[in-house]
Parts: sequence; structure tokens; C-alpha cells
Amino acid sequence: MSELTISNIVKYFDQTKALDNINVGVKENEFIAILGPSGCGKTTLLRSVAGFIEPTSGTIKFGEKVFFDNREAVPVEDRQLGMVFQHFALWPHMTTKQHLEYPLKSKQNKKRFDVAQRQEMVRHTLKLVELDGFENRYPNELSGGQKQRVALARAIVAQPKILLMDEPLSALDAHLKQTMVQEIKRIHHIMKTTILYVTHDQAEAMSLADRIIVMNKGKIEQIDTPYNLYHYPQTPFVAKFVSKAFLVEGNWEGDKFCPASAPDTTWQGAEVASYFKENKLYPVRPEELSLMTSSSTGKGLLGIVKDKQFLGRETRYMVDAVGKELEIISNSFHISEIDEKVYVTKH
Amino acid sequence: MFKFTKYFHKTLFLLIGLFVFIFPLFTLFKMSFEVDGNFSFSNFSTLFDSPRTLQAIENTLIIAFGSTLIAVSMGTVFALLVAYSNIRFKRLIELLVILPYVIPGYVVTLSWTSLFAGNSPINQFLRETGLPVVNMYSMGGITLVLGISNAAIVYLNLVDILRKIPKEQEWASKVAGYRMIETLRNVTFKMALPAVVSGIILAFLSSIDNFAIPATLGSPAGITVLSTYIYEKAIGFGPTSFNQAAVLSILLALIAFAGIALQWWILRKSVIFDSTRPDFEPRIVLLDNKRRLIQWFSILVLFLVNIVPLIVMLFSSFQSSYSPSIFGFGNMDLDNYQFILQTPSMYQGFLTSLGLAVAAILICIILSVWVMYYKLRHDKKATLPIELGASLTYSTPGIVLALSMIFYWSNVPNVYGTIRILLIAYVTRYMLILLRGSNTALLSVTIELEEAAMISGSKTIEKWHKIIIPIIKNQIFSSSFLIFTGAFTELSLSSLLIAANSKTVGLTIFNLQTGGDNSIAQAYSVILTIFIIALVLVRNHFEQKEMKKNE
Repeated sequence: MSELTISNIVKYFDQTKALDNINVGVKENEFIAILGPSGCGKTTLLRSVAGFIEPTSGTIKFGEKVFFDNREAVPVEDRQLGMVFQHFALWPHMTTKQHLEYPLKSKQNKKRFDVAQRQEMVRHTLKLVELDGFENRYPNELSGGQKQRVALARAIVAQPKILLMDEPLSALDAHLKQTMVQEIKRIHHIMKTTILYVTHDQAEAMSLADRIIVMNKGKIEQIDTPYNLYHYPQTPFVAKFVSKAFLVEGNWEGDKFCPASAPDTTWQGAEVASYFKENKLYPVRPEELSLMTSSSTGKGLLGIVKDKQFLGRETRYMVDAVGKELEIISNSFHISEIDEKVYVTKH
Repeated sequence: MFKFTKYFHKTLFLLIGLFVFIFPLFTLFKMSFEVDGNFSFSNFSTLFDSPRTLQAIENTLIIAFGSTLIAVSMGTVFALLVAYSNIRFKRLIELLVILPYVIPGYVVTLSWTSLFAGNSPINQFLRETGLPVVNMYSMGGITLVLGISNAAIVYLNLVDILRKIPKEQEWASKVAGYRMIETLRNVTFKMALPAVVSGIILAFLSSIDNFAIPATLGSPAGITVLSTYIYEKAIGFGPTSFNQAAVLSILLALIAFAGIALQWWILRKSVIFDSTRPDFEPRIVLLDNKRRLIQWFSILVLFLVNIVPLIVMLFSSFQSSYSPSIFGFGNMDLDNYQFILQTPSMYQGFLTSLGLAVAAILICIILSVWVMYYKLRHDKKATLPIELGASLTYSTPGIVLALSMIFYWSNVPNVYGTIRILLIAYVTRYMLILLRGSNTALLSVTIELEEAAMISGSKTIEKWHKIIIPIIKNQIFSSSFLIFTGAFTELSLSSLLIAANSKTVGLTIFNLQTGGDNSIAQAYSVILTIFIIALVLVRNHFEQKEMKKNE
């Protein structure tokens, strides 16, 4: 098993702590997304693994190979990685084919593969990313999506054990993004390689990754599967950033929660993380809430509809309740009008 | 726009382009085929039969290739160090590289000849130890000084492009398994190739164009290159010497245009990448010891090459009579400086050049803003004759342009023989720089900005005063600065076009030098050098202030 083990990584830029004691174990062939807002340290972490940044302290190991151990660093070119960059970083003077041949012609890969093997790998990779027929095009003769495929092909052609991706889809428009997400998933499925994928887009991270590392202010907030992150956030940051949840104040009694402004209401919360229980909070997601014009049972939070947006498949209501603006996603457009009183309940 | 004004502009631009820029060059052709007013090839055959001509061509090419080699190696190495490595004192290094380029050639030669003068410490030492003394009045001397001066051209062409190459493109190569040195070769160099090629060609052109350095170093040793040969013929008295100068000029111009054509041919397919922002982060991180070694070695080399000669010149300038050692304080006085500041024929040159340069710049600014504004807003094609003409006169070697000015403007009364011909020559020579500058500047004034001004009720004058001029003034200023240092210290045009009582700075120093008044020439050069360094520092100051404002 070749696992990527990142332990106790700290990185200072002058006085600011960009990475604060990062510990991650990545399993072989796992697809890991590193998710967080800009400036959270996700790119710094990726570049530390690549070797473009030297951490201040800590260790990075891949299997038996030590990439970095307290100031001793293996140079980037000896780590045998693949990497896809944010703006493709294609070389304007090389054709698609030359891009693919380039990593294969490096010193170590020349020893690993003979000429026939290398030709076969180029052919195979071109086919994999569906670029056969575009071998002799220069980057300026390719569309955005094709450039992305060339960048991806260059990164995987030498069959690296680790593939690093730094916001690779951020330069593409929404429609292309969707196609490329499927492509990347398909290629990962065929390639079976460990992937570290940096993004600030939580939908992208959730649709791609086996597990997601959520980072904020240089620290790891939570590492978990997309499903668990969404349903069982461990920290308020994850609750807000991933689940788009609101934190409602109230009192916990065992696994039961009473919102402070509606003592008659109780919400079940066996799976809510201890942090929220200790801080008398309940994270609730927009689609968990529903609206009623009158409360038959007298339960629910009283509020006033501030805005209503018809989004097609669903309707978004913004409701002032418990001193906050709550977002509620509903299937019905006709529940109530702006400035009307409503009761917000959780189902 | 009315049809009439459209044709009016079109015709006007065509006339200016033809009569001011293009026709003067054509008179050279006419002159070269003329013997006693008749068409003939005999000027060509006479010249090419002369071994001196062939020798001059050979010298020109040897010096041009040699100096380009020096310029390219120096310029590339320092551009790479400043743009990519983590050495300190980058601003100082940059200033040192650029210094011999902004200081006029005749001053640089004077500083080098002071360094290796008969009584200089180095040659004294060499003589005592029985080694051959260094003689700057030689092919090697000319090549060296030209190479060092032109290093800045290569450097300036390259350093910004290097910073603009996205570092991810280099990272992609490192990830692919290549070391930094291989990456520089495979990726960086390939991407910077257009800039490298331009740098090489420009350095080459500048060295065949140069008149001051071969004139001051070559003439005493009997070394002739094409530019000095043309000068010699042009001031000669033979019945056909003007015509022969025309033939030589065509030859020199042909070499120059061949260089430009080569540049165009090599670069015709190159892809211009537009990474928006230059990246100032070091990409080659040297360890402390290595970094210090390289950094201080660079500063030392540049100091030896570009500062020490100037210091020696400074010391020499304090000696009004011959002294056995230039560092002998007992012989020092300020007589030379006193002489310059009290003799009208001396300080007048400074004022003449100042007036000429400022006047030429003002004319260029008005003409180029008008032309380029018309081009961008009304008619893209109408301004072509002026742009084409200005590129021709800009690429033509200075001495060739000077000669064509004589031929052409002597047909018009009250121009040749007065200071006006110099003004016209300066405008034709430097116009292109401001045309380009105005084009860049005006491109940033989008039509929406003007429309917004007009909707807000601005009249045309107000629109220019409040909107357009504030936006373009920085770019115009920096282009003007480029022209100013060139025009102020210019020698090759004024050497031929000068009128009786209107010597320029360049010619004053040149005459002192060739007349053997070396110490006065040195003193004058010191004054000029201090003036130019002060100018450069003032400009850098404003540039930095501007950069901070934009951040």
C-alpha cells in the first residue's frame, strides 16, 4: 500500500500561519478534495505536497518515500507526480502530442519506459481524454475544454501515483465544468490513482471526491465523506460552508432540542455533533425546514416572509425568525406572500 | 464625419508621410546614381574597387557581431538573475546595467580611454610588469564598449517578458520530471525566444548604427566602419564625395533593413502570450552562500565595467595639465569646469541641445496624439503613410538619415544651415517612439469613457482636458523620456547637420575629444553624466510613486 501521509505540517509566510498543524492520511487510489474559501491554505497544502513550497516543519511521506521531513525536501522533479494547474499552464510552443511526450522523456521515465511503451502510453492517453485527432494542434488552436483535456493528459500520461489538481475547472464555464467533472470521475475510475483536488466549489468537491478535507484559516475543520459532511457537520464552519445550515439557539435535553424562541417545539438531534450541543446550537439546513401560514399545533418558529424567489423547480423563501434571516427551500410557490406571518417548522 | 474632412485628413497624412518621412530617404537613391547630374553606376564601382570600402564593411560586421555577442550574454544573464533569482539589490543591478546605455557613447568611450590612458594606474602597472598595455583605440576596444552599452537593450527587452511567463508553465515542466536548468532551456527560453531574438537584432542594429564610439575610438587608429566612413565622405571635398556617401548610406541602410526583415521573419509565427501581471516572486531560490556569491560578483563586475571608468574619468577631469598620475591630488583643480561654465561656446551646447530636445518632443507629442487619435477613432488606414514613414526613419541609421536630410532639405530655403534642420531631423528620427507611446496610451481611453464625458455635458476641450489627457499623460511622459535622453545627447545627426553657431552637447564634447582637449572633454562629460543620472533617478522616483498609486 502506498499511502500519502501528511503529518504535523506547519507553514509560516513571514508572521502569518498559512498551515496550522495539518495531519492527513490518504489511502491508495483515493480521490480527496481539499475544500475551503480563498486564503484557507488549501493551495499551500497542495503546493507543499507538490514541493513548490517548503513547509516550516512536519513530514510528508508517500509510501516508503519521504517527500519532506523537517527541512529535508525531495525536489519536485523527483517526486513523480502529475499536476493540473488552474489556468492549464500549457506551453504555447508545443503541440498536444509534444505535451504528452514531455513527461515521458524526462530522465527517470526514459529509464522506466522504452520507446514503444512511451508511444503506446501517448496513444492510450490521447484516447482516454478523447483528444485523438488533435495531436498536432497548438494550444492556441484548441478550445477551453480541449486545453483542459491536454493539461489533464499531460498530468496522467506517465501514470503518476499521485495526481494533484489545483482548481482545474475554475477557468471553464458552468456547462463545461459539468462535463469535465464527469470526465475526471471516469478517468479516475480507469486510472486508479490517488488524487488531491483543490477547489472552493463545494458542489464540485461533493460530486467528485471520496472524502473531502474542509479547511479554514490554515486548519482542517473536518475530513469526511461528502454524505457525512453534509449531514453531520462537526463544526459551525462546516455546517455553514458545506451544509449551508443555520445555527438556531436553544436548549438541549439529551438528544432533544428546544429552540429558544419556541419552547413548545422539540427537534430530534441524536446525530448532531457535540460541539453544537455544548454551545446550545442546532444546525438546520434550508431543505429541512417548511413553512405554514398557521400553526395548528402551536409549534414552530414565528417569522415574517421578507422575500420570495421563484427558482423553477423550487421556491426560496427568506424569513425573519429568531432574530435571523432563514433561508427555506420549498416545493410550493403558494405558501405565503411577502410581509405575511408564517410558522417555520422542521421535518 | 463629413466626407470632406475625411479626405482632408487622409491627404494631409499622406503628404506629411511622404514629404517629411519618406522622400528624404529616396533622395539618397537619387544621389547614389548621380554623376555630374547624369545617371550612372560609377559611384558604386569606384567605391567597391576601393579596398577601404571592403575593409569598412568587414570592420562593421566584425564589430557588430562581436559586440552583439557581448551584449546578448551580459543582457541575458542579468535579466535572468534579476527576473528569476532571489539575489538582493536588484534595483542597483538594473541601474548599473542600464547606465552605459543612457550615458551617451562618446562619454562611455571617454571614460574607458581615461581608464586605459598612458598614465593610468592599470597601464602603468602593465608596463612595469612587462605586459602589453591595453589600447582602447582598437577593434577590440570598440567592440567591448559597444557590447557593454548595448547589453541594456537585450536586458530591457527580456526582463519584463521573463517576469510575465506564468510560473505554472515552469512548474508543469518540473512536475514532469525536469530540473530547473532543463526547464529554463525547454520552456522558459522557448517562451522568451521572441524577446531574445528582438534583443539580438536590436543590439546588432544599434551597433551598426552607432557613430560616436567608432568615431572616437576608431579614427585615431585608422579603423573605419561604415558609419564613420559615411561621415568622412560627407564632410570631404571631392567632386563625388557626397554621392559616394549616399552609396555607402544605402549599403548601411540595407544591412539595417535586412536585420529588421530577419527579425520579422523569425517572429512571424511566434505566439505572443499575454499574462496580465508580471510576477516578482523569485523562481530560482539560491541558498544563502551561493546567493551572496552571485549577487556580490554581479555587482563587482558591473561596478568594474560601468562605474570604475566613470570614476577615473572624474579624476582625470580635475587635471588641467598633464600629470604623471591621475590620482595625484596635488595636480587637481577645477580649471576645466570653470572654463566650461564661463565660456559661451562651451555651455551654449548644453542649452542648444536642451532647447532642441524639448522642442522636438513637443512637436512629436502633438503630432502623434493627433495622428493616433484619428487612427483609433476615425480611420485606421489614413495614418499608415506617417506610421510607415516614421518606422523607416527610425530604423535608418542616424548618420544615413542625417545625410538624406542634407540632400533633401537643402532644396528648401532657410532650413539647411540653420538649427531648423536639426529640429526636423530629431522629429523624423524619434517620432516612432511617441507614435507607439500614444497608441498604447490612447488604447486605454475606451470610447465609453469619452461617451460618458459627453453625456455628462463635456465639450471637446473639456473632454481632452479632464478625461483624455489625465489618462494618457503617464505613458506619453515615459515615451518622451526615452526620446529626451536620446535627443539631448545625440551625436550622429548633429555631426553632419550642425550650423555654424548652434553646436549640440554631443558635438561640443566630440570636437573637444577629437581636437585633443581630453581633460576639458572629460569635465564636460562628467557634467553631462551627472545630469543624466539625476534625470534617470527623478524618473525612477516618479515611476515608483505611480506604481504605488496603482497598487
